[in-house]
Amino acid sequence: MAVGKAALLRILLLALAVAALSPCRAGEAEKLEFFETNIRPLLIENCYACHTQSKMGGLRLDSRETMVRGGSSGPAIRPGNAAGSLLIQAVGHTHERLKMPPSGTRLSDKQIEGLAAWIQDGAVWPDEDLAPQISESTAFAVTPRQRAFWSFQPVSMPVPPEIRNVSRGIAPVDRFILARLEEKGIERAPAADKRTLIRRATYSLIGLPPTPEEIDAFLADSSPNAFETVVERLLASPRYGERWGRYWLDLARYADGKIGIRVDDPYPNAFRYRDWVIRAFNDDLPYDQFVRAQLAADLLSEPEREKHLAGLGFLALSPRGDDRVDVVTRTFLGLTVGCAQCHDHKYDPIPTKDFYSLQGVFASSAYEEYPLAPEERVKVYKDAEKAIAGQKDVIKTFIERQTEQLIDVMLDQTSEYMMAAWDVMQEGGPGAEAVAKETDLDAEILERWVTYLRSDKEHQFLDDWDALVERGGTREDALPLAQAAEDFIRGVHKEKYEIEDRNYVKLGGAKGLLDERTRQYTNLEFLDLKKWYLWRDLASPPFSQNGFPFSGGVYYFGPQEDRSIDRFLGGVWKAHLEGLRAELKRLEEELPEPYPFIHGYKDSGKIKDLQVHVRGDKDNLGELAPRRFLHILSESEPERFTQGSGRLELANHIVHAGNPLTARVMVNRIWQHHFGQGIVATPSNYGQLGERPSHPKLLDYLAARFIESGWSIKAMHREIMLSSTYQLSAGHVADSFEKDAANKLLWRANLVQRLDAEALRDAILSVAGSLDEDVGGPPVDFADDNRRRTVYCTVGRTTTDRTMMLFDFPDPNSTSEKRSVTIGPMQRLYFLNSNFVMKQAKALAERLAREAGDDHAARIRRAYELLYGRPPSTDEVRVGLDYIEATQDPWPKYAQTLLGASEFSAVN
Amino acid sequence: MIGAGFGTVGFAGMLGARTSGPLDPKVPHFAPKAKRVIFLFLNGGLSQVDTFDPKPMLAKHEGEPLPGPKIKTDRASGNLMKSPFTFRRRGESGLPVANIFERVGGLVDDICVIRSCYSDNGNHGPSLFLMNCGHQLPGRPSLGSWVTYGLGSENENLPGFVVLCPGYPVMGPSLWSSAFLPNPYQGAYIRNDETDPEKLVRNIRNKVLSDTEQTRQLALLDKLNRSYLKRLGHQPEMESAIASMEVAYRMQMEVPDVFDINKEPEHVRERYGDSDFGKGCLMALRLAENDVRMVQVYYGNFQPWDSHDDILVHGKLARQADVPISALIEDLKARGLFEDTLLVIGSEFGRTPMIQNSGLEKIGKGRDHNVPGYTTLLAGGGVKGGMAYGATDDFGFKAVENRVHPHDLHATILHLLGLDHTRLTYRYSGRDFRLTDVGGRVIHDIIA
Repeated sequence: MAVGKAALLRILLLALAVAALSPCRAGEAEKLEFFETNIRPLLIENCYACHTQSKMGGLRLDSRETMVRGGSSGPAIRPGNAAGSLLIQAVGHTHERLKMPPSGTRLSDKQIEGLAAWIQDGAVWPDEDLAPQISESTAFAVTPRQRAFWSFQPVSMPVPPEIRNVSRGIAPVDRFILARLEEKGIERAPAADKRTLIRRATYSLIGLPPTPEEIDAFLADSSPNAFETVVERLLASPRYGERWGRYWLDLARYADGKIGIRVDDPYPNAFRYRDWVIRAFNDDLPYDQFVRAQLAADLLSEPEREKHLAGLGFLALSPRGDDRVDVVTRTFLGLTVGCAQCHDHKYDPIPTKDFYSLQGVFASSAYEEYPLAPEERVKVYKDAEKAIAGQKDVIKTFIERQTEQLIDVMLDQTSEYMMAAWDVMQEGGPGAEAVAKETDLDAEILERWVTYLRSDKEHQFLDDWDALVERGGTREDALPLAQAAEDFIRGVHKEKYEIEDRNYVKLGGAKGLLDERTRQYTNLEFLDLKKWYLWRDLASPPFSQNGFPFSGGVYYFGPQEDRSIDRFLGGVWKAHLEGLRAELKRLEEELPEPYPFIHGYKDSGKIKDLQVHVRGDKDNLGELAPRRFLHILSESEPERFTQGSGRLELANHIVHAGNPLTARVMVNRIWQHHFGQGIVATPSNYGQLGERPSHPKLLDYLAARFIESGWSIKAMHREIMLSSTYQLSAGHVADSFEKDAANKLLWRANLVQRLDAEALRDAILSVAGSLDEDVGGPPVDFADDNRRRTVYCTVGRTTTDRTMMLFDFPDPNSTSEKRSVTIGPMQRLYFLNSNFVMKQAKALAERLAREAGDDHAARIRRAYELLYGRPPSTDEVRVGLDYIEATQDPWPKYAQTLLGASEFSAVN
Repeated sequence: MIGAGFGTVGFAGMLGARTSGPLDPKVPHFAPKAKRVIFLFLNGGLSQVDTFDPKPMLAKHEGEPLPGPKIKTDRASGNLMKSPFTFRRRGESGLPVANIFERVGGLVDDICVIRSCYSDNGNHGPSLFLMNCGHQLPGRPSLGSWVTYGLGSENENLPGFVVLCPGYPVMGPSLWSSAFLPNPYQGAYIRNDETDPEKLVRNIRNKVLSDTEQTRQLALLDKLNRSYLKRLGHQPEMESAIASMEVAYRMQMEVPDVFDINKEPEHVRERYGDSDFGKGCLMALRLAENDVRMVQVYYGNFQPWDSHDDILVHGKLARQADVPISALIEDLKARGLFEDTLLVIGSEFGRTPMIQNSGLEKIGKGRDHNVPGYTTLLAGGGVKGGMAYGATDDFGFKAVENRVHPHDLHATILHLLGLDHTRLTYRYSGRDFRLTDVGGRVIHDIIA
């Protein structure tokens, strides 16, 4: 039996190999090192694309055993016999049929010698690989240890711990915090004063400073729920969604355009997703619905479907096609499934197959534009667009034909033009205009000829002529050269068109000509390069090549204004062209407003499971990965998705109350924005390499409360903000500082050293009284006179606004979990010198005069209330007055200085 | 004149002479050979077989297909095409250089020609990212960001990493992004087609206030900040944040000068020619002189070296680049900067030895993108001159000897700067990232 024989051979060979290995234990380490440094890298680089899991020719080269066993052509190696090894014959190109690697060039001799030496020496392979798993089944099993990892445990509802020293009113949240502080013997900082608190809460919830009136009202409210009143007011403000929606847009890598080569390609309706997010936060749309809408709004039933369709922007507005698995899993689950694209996740229980299971969901879906206008309007617009394109095409074709004919006619006059140019070029000769008139030639063309004949040329065909000019020949000598040139040029012209005709046939006619791929993969003919240069110089339209412009051939006239063909056209031709252009103008004027639409997503016509791309290589396909949820978040083998692409099923799995990650991830994001640090410090990574929670029970308590509240984000704000922990001051307690300088255990509030980019710009506009409070709509470009809230300003994908970048606005090309805050001199220059700040300082100065009257001290007090939320000290008033009195036109300068001071952009 | 009055109030006096910040000079992992980098990026793809890697076999086999099985290139590939340029052995080393790099050829004894570079992807975008940021996709910090993160800056009045381009190369600012590294490590982008230094660096001068007025404003600001600090109590980070104002103030004075190439005498400026790239090279020299850690000069907007349809255009480009590159090398030497400035000259990939078989373009005498083999030049900063490292096959298609991946090049650049590429890490989203990802091999053979 064949199988038996093969098995026998294998055993024999193995035995032989073991025998070959055993006698020389001493040299083994050396041999292994030789293998690791010379052989394994060589195999990986040159062979593994085809000879591992995909087993081209039935051969795997990733273990000694499979090499010895070989593939359809027989054993690849015979240990101890390099010359007799198929591998050596193949890579040495000595085998008549097998020449490896199949692409590129042969391995270097040095590499082949290395391989041969290794085989000759017994083909030593490290022990752990001696018996590799050859089985094709890669059923993935999560080990109990992996499953026991903290973040995969179900969310519990811990009882808030008992606290010994309950000195002030404490919320459940505080009990978890205080328990840890008591355990470590860390004393808390005192509570923040009311001014600090309202400034903190206002920036935190709406991203703007509190007005002096709001501060006064809070100060005057002595009731125990005074702060609650403030929080409720802020949560009800439409400004709230503009602040918190923006944080979500960080995660959604939102931008107003598509990445372009130089500038963004437009995504004219991207803002509808931004506005939908803002509205969702303002409406406190339950988080589970919020998630579902962004992944599968198109699959929901009405009226939800229509209401939330714009939420699909989360998937649709992607900078590149293949980031969705990464963005979705990091954003919603805090898992880095993207890391499993090329290999099983190195740290977390996520097999490559899981990546392709999810990738399959998105591969079975597609970008879709959902018009927000009646069908009729869409049709009218599309028809009108088509008519314009058609008309432009007609004009283009007509002009091209005229251009060609003109060139044909002119080519026949080449010798005349050259001789006329000869006359012009004579020392003291007549001007081109005069010669043209006399010879009945076109003056412009003649001038071009003169210029051309005087220039350096990139071909040799007019060398005779140039030599004649150089040695001062006669007109009689020139004439035959001009005639010869004319004949030659006409020949080249003819040759070029013959080649084009042949290419046209090769491409299979007009269809192939228009198809880029067909053109790329057809062996086309080209005119000889030097002849092409000659042709170009006479007949080519203008073009630019690698930054070197060519302005157009001597005989070329076309649609361009500065070399328009119009003056060569007369009679019916002229009338015809004018008619065509008039029609185009009419069509363009009548083009209706573009209809609005949503950048969305849909199930594509081709629902399919993907095959694993082995090592991320799309040409090396492995086993099929059915569309389904992740193993680690399923109790047993996950069930296949059966409804269309499976996006809605995926969304439902993500927001399923039993999913241990979704709620934990979201409450932590909210916590992070309030405290400047998350309970989990890596908010989008809850895997092995992520940080462990500083307060695991608190995290669970919050997650459980979140689900219990019906996934209400606003309820979570209340839960957090009404705690005494939130209301602490940033004060210094020496002993506590010594024990926990980083404030990991939250014994005080963290100082916000600098507002983020949006809050900073908005605050400047707000205190200057300039802020435009309009809501939503198309993005407005950053400009000195743009007074909209920053969330409504254009977010470029290819280029981000430089001021925004300067203040650490996140890169919209990847999902962003945290704002970094840097402080540097370039930012100070912005406050010192930018037009925007200067302009707003002037507006602020005017506001102070308007609201505080003529009294300088009163203006200073008003300024401190507006900008810093507190009255100035007498000393500060004095410093201000000194400056005012000693300065010309002092107020704008004083206002600018107040804006540039650190206190303006700091909170707490 | 600004300065005197403000100096007496001095933040420095209040906070100590120096404050700590992200760009403070840092101690490298080991003794460096180079202190700074100038990277001249010939964006679009420099053709190796037409410049520094001559292949006589191309002339012999012109018009024939590349031997071996049909290879996979971006587009269908045509037959072999010899270089239209002539090569000559130059310098004492006798390294061959094409006549389109006449002057650079004369300096070849100072240059290490790496002929065995290879990359992973045949499209500009991914290869640009790989060469600049060590990864094919956007979202990773750039080489210059890693370098300034690792070493800080020796000049606290200037950005540590400056990028010069008249507009944008393909992919734009993501090529000098600091990604998840903090913002100060981002490349400061300067349009070098501007000559007015005040347009070069935004907000560097106040257009309205006089120097005296601004000095008085700064004195007031100082008082306000001091009063705030006193209210805050113990907040050391805030103190250093406030001190950045002092740096900003000094930058106002220093920056316009450094970027102003008109400060160079005419005979120096002339040697760089009047191309944007020439201006960029001269600016790079001045920035290096002022201890900017890394300067990257893009040859031009978009991708000028992308000669798909006519390789003769490479002649025009090279002759234009030849002038400032050679001037820069000469001036680095003349100003004593050559020894500790590493000059890198290269592209995202090379060009095929075969003609591009593409109906996309109109001429059909060009070369396509070539990823398996291309050339990068290194000079100065502890690199051996007059040396060719690695080799491509007989036709210049694939690197076959001592292959150099962008990770290897990056590892070597970092090594020359005294940084171990495996130890230069940054923890982000729960993972330690590095420029060379999981690869990178230092090319010790080229280090002097």
